[in-house]
Amino acid sequence: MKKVGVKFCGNCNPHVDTGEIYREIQDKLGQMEGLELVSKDTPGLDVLIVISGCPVDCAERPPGTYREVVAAGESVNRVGCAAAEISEKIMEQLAKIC
Amino acid sequence: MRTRQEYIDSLKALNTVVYAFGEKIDNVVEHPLTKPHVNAAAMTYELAHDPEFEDLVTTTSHLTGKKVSRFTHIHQSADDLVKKVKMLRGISQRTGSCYQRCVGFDGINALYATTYDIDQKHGTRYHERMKDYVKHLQETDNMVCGAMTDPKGDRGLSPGKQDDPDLYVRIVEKNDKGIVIRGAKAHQTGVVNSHEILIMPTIALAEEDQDYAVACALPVDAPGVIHIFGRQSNDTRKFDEMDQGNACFGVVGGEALTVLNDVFVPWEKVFMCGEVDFAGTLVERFACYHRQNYGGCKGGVSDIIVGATAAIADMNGVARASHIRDKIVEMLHLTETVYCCSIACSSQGRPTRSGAYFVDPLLANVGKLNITRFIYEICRLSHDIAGGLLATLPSEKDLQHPEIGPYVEKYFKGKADVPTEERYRIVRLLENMTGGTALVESMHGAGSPQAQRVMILRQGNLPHKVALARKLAGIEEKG
Ligand SMILES: Cc1cc2nc3c(=O)[nH]c(=O)nc-3n(C[C@H](O)[C@H](O)[C@H](O)COP(=O)(O)OP(=O)(O)OC[C@H]3O[C@@H](n4cnc5c(N)ncnc54)[C@H](O)[C@@H]3O)c2cc1C
Repeated sequence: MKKVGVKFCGNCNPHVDTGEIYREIQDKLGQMEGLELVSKDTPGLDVLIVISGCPVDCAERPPGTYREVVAAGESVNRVGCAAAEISEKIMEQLAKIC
Repeated sequence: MRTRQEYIDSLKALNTVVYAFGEKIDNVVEHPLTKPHVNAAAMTYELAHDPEFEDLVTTTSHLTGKKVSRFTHIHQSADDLVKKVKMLRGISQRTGSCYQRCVGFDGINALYATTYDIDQKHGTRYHERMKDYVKHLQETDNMVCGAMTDPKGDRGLSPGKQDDPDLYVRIVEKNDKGIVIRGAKAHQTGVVNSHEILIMPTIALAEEDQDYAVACALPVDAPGVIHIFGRQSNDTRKFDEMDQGNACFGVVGGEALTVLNDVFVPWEKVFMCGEVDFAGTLVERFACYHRQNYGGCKGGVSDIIVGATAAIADMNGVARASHIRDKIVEMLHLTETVYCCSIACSSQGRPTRSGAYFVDPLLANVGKLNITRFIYEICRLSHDIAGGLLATLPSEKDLQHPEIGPYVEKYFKGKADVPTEERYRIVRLLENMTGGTALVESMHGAGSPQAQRVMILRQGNLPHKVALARKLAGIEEKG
């Protein structure tokens, strides 16, 4: 089972609804085998999904050797996409690295 | 870190003496006048435990290595300063009003840096005390009211020359256990729902004003402390629901006059005692940290005003008119401009000798001076767009009245598909966020505009600019 954590930026002036993106990811991860959603502070995290409200992506990263998928405003891993597609694109990136 | 509920419960355990409308308020948590401000402050505790916000609202203490509320933190980098501004904007977007904790936050940072400097010059031991105090705040997560402004009496006279010597807080006794202070602090944001008060002098002081050079911390319910809660415009509406506009969080911070009737403060909570030569530095540092905030907190409040204005434009059926869109763009532009100033003065932050980071003072003052104008302009544009019912809407009791309610319902309707009550609520929100007390906070909070102008002139290096001009004009310098 791979451990996946989620980290938010703090949402000072978000361009996208980060809470909604999180809920969508939660749903999608629930349907995927081999991946487990855990606290971002869990030791031995495999992947950290960073959900930043805008392209600045100022979220601090917890220490660790995990891989990252970064949603920052209307983009995932620096490729632009519509807000409604963000959770889907995150899942695509997750599938690539897991 | 305290949870929202722990914060509220902790207030119930205090014996804070609060008066309003000539009566004593026994329970600030439940009293309609103070409850909204308790709720607003409680948001700072709630968001510290919310994964979506904790990255801004919490940080790691440089003193203990533990996770702490950012409101009890000493800035360790320019990034910390930037995060403070972002945090303020984010919280304001949730409350639409002042959540009061920044004043004490700025006070501890200003004192942390200044006590270090005092010790270096005078061989005193204030800085270690200050560190202990910060650790105590980080452990308890107490809310601290930043108490700088004195009543000041005749503004043309220094503290010691006033007819009444108590118009500035002063030391009236020193003994082996501590000091006794007397006077009052005016406009104290959030004091009635804080745990502690951080006293600081309000102006630079001359040698003869040694008794007025005092900085110290005391509990809000210490013997001799009385709080007289200030009136706000429309405050009797706090006994209504819809007519308040922002029923949960109120308007501004809930300010009070705090009277200090010979209050004892033990030495371990005294951070300045007679060092007049550092009063000015402390005031200036506090003012700059505090002016840094406004593009964050008022930026977030403006986000709501812009949102409410766009909503009412839509409800009124004018959202697509070009002049309305243009005015909304202007409101957004002004909001982001004030935010830019706060971000800029933070990212240009630099360390003080104590290690605490300090904002760029010129940019911080420019930012606050913009607030004294741009927030008024944002509110003016919102009034333009919302229409006259901002000033003439009947009360919620009329809307709910069995006989006349249907008339209010019928004749205050905007677009057919928008329920009148929704339009009513948005108008009330705008009315309360853009008039009276809410506006004055932007003018005088963190100092009146002239205070910023003085700092801007001092920091602006005019001779350098004159020299640049003379050089380009081909004027040869003599000698
Ligand atoms: C909503 C709100 C919240 C606040 N919260 C806090 C708080 O939490 N803690 C705190 O300590 N303070 C707080 N303040 C106080 C704030 O810092 C002061 O209001 C501000 O510094 C101005 O002081 P004042 O109100 O006494 O006005 P005044 O000093 O009377 O200023 C009025 C005018 O007189 C001018 N003036 C004053 N003195 C002189 C002089 N010597 N020479 C020439 N012109 C002069 C000013 O420039 C200004 O134009 C708050 C204020 C408000 C409105």
